[in-house]
Amino acid sequence: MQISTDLGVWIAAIATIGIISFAFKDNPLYRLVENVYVGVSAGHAIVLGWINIRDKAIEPMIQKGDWSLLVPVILGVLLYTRYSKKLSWLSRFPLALLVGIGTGLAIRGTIGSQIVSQINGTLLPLNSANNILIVLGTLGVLTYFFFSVEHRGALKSVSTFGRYVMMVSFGAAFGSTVMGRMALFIGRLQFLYSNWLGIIK
Amino acid sequence: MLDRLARMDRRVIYAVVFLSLSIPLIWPIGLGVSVGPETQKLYDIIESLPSGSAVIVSMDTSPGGYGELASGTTALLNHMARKGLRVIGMGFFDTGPSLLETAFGGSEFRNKEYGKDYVNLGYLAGGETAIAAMARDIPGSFPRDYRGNVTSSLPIMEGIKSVRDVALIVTISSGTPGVPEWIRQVGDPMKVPIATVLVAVNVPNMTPYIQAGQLKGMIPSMKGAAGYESLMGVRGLGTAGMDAQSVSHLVILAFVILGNVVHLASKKPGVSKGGVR
Repeated sequence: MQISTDLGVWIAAIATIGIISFAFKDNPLYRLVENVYVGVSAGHAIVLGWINIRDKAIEPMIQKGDWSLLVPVILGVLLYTRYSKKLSWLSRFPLALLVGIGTGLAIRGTIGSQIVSQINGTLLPLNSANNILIVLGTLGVLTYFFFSVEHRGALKSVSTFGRYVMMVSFGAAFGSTVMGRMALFIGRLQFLYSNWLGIIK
Repeated sequence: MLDRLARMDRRVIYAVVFLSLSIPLIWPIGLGVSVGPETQKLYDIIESLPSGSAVIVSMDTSPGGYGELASGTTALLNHMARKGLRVIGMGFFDTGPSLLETAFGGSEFRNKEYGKDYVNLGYLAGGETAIAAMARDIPGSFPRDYRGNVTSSLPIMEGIKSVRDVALIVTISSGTPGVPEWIRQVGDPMKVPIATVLVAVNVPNMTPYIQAGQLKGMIPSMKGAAGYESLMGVRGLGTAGMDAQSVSHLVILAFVILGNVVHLASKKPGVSKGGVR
């Protein structure tokens, strides 16, 4: 057992214990660590934002004379007019541009990747249990969300099967969530026992 | 007895789970590790790449997610370092590049030459739009790397203009932008293979992309990391954590069953209702 002498490791260890201590009871150490985390995250984001503007706008304009970049810079500044009642209407222009470009890009990709390719991925030969499950499961879930006709008779059976498929999926999602949370906690415990306390290698 | 169980303090459950994680970490049991097919696929892809191939590793996660992804990322980077691959790192989360520095420092890349064998290009704001822009012009999107060097002057960037010049993209993912955005903007339209190191919560949602062949491989959480380490024949953080993971799952399973038994029994007349406080 060799306890770390690194100040950074000690700070990280105390912060970890502070956050975990909330599971027992709310306490001053937890609130201190939480506030420090929020502050550090905000400061980190501001610095990175500034580096982005410096590298991708200011330097190319001043050093290379690429003054076309003034257009996005002005549009970016206009976003801050939201804080003025008189000028807030100006912020709609960059916002509209952001929404338009974002939506256009997402729709272009969504149709191909998340509709056409996913349908292709479901058109499978029924030669294995996996393939049969995938095809029947997809049809069942789609039937469950088909509301134009009342679910009776055979349609009800298929729809019920679709509901069971979704329940299995929710169970898998919950199981994965538990696995993920445990993995996170294990990561912190490995840090505490290894890097900080030196109990394990 | 059932009444006492129904009114059990939730902190008792926390304490038992804590012990179930700590004891196997300190005294390992040596339970077996299985390798999932999606993890095997990613391993095979890396094995098939010739030495010197360029790959992109995008750190699209925050410190909260990286705790779960560190073991898988380290195993993957070690494999890439051993294969002699050139790793171009970047991030579309603002915390990504600093985590990438940690990841490189904790892997075998710490013994490699920065700028020649690996590089951290830093953070690009804009989420999915930024990914689309970067895909067409990597040096233009990152004029300087995370350490302030001019990107185009680095030897590793020789011959690298767009993502079409790289053999594989791996997103270390825990949110948005993540796997769907990479597939929408790069994987499908530009026909570049995409793989991921993924948090467990997102695995059920991303599995259809594996099924459809849009996602070429995956290291799901710590379990995937342990599988990857076993393929490499090493014992790393993932393998070390799997005993704790398995024991804690058994404990949670026992609590779920116990909770249901108590709940069903409390419905009978004569047993008071209760719940975990």
